[in-house]
Amino acid sequence: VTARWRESSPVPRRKPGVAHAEVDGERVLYDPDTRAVIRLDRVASVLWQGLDGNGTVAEFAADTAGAFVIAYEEALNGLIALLERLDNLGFLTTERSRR
Amino acid sequence: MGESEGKRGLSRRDLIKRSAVVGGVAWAAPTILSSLSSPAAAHTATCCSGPNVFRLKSGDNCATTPTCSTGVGAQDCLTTVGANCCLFNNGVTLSCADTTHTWTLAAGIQFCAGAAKAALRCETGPPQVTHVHNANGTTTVTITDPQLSHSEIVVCTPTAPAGC
Repeated sequence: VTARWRESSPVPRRKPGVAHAEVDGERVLYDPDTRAVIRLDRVASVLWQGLDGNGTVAEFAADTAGAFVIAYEEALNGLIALLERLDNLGFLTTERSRR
Repeated sequence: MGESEGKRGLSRRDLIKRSAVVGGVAWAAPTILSSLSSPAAAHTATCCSGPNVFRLKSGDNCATTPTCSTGVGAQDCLTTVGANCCLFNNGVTLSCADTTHTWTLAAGIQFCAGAAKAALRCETGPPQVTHVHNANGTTTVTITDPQLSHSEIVVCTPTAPAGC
């Protein structure tokens, strides 16, 4: 099985139209198309905001590592796992951003 | 890395850093705490048409003490059942912020409906009213609106709960 997300993958975007509410730093996301609801923990809620379609997953991981002052590999592994889940649940779009 | 990429990365890093600092967030592996893939996959509330149905209503203006008067008021949104707060702090808890009320239902208490009273509006569905079934059996009901004045939930239990 080939992993969907790797360092060279472009950063996905948050799916347009997904509504959110924030409670104590945790975001609840609602997709009106599928009526799916998910709740993110506080770290995932922070990373969700950065899913802007710009750059690569490696760059996003480097940004995350710098912001949280952790090792790059740790940030990368956590980020990729989160992207896998969000992607499987349909909360991402992989349309490339305009360059 | 080109200049534009550098600016882009710096901007995102600042956004993440600011959000983490403001929220006091320390790193842990990011996690999706709960998900509800579709209403069809939801744990179906089977007791909403039964005898053990209760409406709980928050106090106005973010007061966490529910309005426990019985009956249905002119400002109420969910009027199919009179308010009955016997489950408050007896399986149902409420935390409150200016524009968001979060109700937590213990395992065994099922969510039937929720409403946000906002100005003169009653909002009864997403995105103002959402609920999530958590892995530990509890249910989190989030009711949010920029003009939220009070929230209401209707819940049920399969059998008569103690204290009610």
